[in-house]
Amino acid sequence: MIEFTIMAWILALLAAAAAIYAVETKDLISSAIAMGVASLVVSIMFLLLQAPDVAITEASIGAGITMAVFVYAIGKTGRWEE
Amino acid sequence: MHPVLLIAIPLLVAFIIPLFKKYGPSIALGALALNTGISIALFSVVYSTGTVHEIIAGFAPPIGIFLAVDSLSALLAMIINLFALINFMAIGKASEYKFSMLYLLAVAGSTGIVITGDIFNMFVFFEITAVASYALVASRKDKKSMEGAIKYMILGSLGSIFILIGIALIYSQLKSLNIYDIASRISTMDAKIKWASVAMLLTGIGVEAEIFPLNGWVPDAYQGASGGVASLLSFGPSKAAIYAIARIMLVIFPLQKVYYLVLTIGVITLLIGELAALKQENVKRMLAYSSIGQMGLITIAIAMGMNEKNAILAIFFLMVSHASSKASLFLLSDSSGMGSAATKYTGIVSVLGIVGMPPFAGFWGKWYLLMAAINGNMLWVIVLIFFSGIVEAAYFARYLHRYYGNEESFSRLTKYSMAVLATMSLIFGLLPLIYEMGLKTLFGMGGV
Amino acid sequence: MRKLAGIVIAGIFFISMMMLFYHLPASHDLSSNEYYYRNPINGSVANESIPEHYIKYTKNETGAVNAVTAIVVEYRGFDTLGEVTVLFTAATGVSFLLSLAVRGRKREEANLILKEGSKLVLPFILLTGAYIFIHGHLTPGGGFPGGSVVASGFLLMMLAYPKFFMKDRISWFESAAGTAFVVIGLLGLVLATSFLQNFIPVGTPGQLVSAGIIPLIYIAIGFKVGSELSAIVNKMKEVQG
Repeated sequence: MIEFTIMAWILALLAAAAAIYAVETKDLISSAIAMGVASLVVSIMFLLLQAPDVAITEASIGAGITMAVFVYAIGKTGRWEE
Repeated sequence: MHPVLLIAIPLLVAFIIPLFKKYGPSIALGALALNTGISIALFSVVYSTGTVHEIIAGFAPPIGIFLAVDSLSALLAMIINLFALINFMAIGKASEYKFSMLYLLAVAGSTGIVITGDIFNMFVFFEITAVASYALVASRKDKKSMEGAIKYMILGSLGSIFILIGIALIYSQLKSLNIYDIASRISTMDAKIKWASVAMLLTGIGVEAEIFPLNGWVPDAYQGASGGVASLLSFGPSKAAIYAIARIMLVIFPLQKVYYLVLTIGVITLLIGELAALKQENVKRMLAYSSIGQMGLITIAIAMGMNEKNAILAIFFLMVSHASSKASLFLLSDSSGMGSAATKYTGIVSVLGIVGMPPFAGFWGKWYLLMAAINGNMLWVIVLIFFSGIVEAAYFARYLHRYYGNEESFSRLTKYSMAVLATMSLIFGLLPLIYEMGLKTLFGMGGV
Repeated sequence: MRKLAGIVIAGIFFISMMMLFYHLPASHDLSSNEYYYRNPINGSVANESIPEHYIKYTKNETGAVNAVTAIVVEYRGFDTLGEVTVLFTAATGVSFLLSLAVRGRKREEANLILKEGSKLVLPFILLTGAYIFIHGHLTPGGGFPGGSVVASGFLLMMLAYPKFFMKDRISWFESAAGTAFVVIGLLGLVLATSFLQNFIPVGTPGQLVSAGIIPLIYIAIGFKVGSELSAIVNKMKEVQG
């Protein structure tokens, strides 16, 4: 149980750090990648909480497809936040 | 009677339309007509026999999902589908097939919110309605409409998260998602979590229901949207959302503290909406702020409905009145003038309806609200209703003065559609339908 | 100043949420009688909670071994239809607003390893996705995970081959799968008694062909989610900058 708690705290802090970085950075590509990282961490959390189906979905959508959509959108507009 | 068809048919048709691109708008029109027929039949069944339940997937309610159509939801389902049909006749013909798909989905979602008896199911329909509305608001594809759509989308998605957290909090305590099951066991819920879930649900739904302080998107979205879409928003999603507040607050949380909370929100929304409408130069912005004001009035009626039966009748009438008048006024706002007989008629009748002249539905709404206020000894509500009526009369008089008689450019079908929409307020004001229904079954089981 | 205000608001929200979650009970005794549900139509009170009901009777009532799937597709199938529609609405909205697609713009070629490698793994990704949604009633997973895995396979192809383009025909899959879902629901209304009710014999729980309409619906969802997500990514890639 204690291992789970430690793991959960590490993952939660990682996800929060990635999310805050995604908001704060001026480079939108890094922002999109940080979002992907946050999703990946959250999907590991789902796996630890014994929800493998949600973990698969979160990993492929959050870390894969959403990030690709963001990157394509940034490619059409501009990379740097003003 | 199967109310589920009201949702299944538009979904099915929306899924099929991409295969018949060219005929998209016509198919959508057919589906809306079919839906209108079903909703009128449903209304008559509810009118004669009371609340209609439909079990989905064959499992008894708290285990599975069920639809609970009480008198107010039958009325609203009919209004939404009928008005959608008329509105789509006015604007849908020339549109792209994807526009008709989104339109159908928005209508199906609004109907779903109104007729479902399951709180998570309600959330799902909120999502459908909201996502379809974002795209519809942006459908003019210019800068203004994109701005409105983005504001709407950001606030709307934040709102969805709040609704979801609120539902999760309730589930964590009661292990149930059925509105009536929750309502019967709400007293066993921990007080703090109950309050948190009230706050979350009110915040989330409030975004769609255009109540203060969550209505920052409203003026921009309505201004950016084309007249037909603004009209859809005013009788579809916003009415469904305010109905959801009524159902959740009156059925699940009829508590004294919630009453004060909702009442305060309603009063602030009313004042802000009406006073801001007075200052607007742009027609659509003025109508949007006026909608906010009306939503505030309906919210006041919902709050007072916890104690007074008359206020519940007021909810019915105010919703019909606002849906009818605003739907036609927004259609009219696409062109800056009322030149022909049909548009002059539309303008005058909708303004009379919304200001609340007898015998329009708006009059009965304010009348029953006044009765409730007198019964409850709430002098300030009476003052507030008269004050808002005067402000409304002022800016609508200015509106008529400015646009009456100018040139306009509507097709014949559009003109007649808006005239019919405006007349609905009169019809529902004259027929005793609502009065009789309102007294019969309210919010399904157990009453209010 | 605005930033400070934002931090303060976020902090207050965060602290209140943490206090709320701290307040939530850590574990539940599902058999406790405060969770006993009440049927809203006839008012009868059961002597079990809803989660208990799912755990006890899922296998008999639906024939699915995977209780999560049974809840998603059978007990709360109407919600799932709604969720699929949300995704459909989003995809329609994206393609409605981004209708300025241009083709044949020059793009940089990806390198050889990415190109050949993605060709090699694509069949396996698609196979995994199909496995996940076909076996939804037996193993964890189902239409949404399976469909998104399929879509991520196509995403890989789009990254490796800039000219890779999915034809409009992909919308046929979307339409057909969505229609199939609603039609199965309506068949339930006609052949059984209510919308989305199972009308096929459930068979032996645990076998591939069992659980009535659950596998059919999950296959439809898999196709639908896969084609919709790929269509969204494809549209984003093709639209003019």
